[in-house]
Amino acid sequence: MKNALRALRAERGWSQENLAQRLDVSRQTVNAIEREKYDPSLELAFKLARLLGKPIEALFEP
Amino acid sequence: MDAPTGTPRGLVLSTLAAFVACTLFALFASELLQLGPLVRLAVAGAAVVTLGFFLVAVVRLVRSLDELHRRVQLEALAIAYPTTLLLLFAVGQLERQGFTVWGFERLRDVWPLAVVPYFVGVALAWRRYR
Repeated sequence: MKNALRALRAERGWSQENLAQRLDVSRQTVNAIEREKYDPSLELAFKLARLLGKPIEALFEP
Repeated sequence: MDAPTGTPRGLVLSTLAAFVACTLFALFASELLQLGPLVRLAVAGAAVVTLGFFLVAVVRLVRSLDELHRRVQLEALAIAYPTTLLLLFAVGQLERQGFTVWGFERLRDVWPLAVVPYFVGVALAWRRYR
């Protein structure tokens, strides 16, 4: 699934490690989502959307 | 069965070290020492109990992982479990026909190698997500 995570993270000046800590996941998980190798669970997708202050459809595109 | 407390990864390593030590001692004792039946039973039991602690520690570690790491573990096990069964079945069949595989005389000598398909499975699963 396509996503805008890398751009949104960069806008905020957060590193992958930083975002991973805020989400309580590993840096590898953030990296895999950004590279569109891994589609997160709904729970994690909502957590991401809340953290970035965006609706979930602004983050992920089927 | 309660394992000792600590970080999940530390627990896995310490219980694995205890299991390996107990198993090596059990091997050494069975080959080189003349022990009474009760002591032999205790030596064998120690190896089994430490393996039990190791299994509990592994479950705790998996529960502490995030969702991607859990998926990697699941895919690794999905590869490793049937592969291990296949290898053991193949060695068992050859043994039944009187062949010795890679110098292993008995099936019980082969089982420590069962960890190899797990590590191959982890490597293959990670390739997908990196």
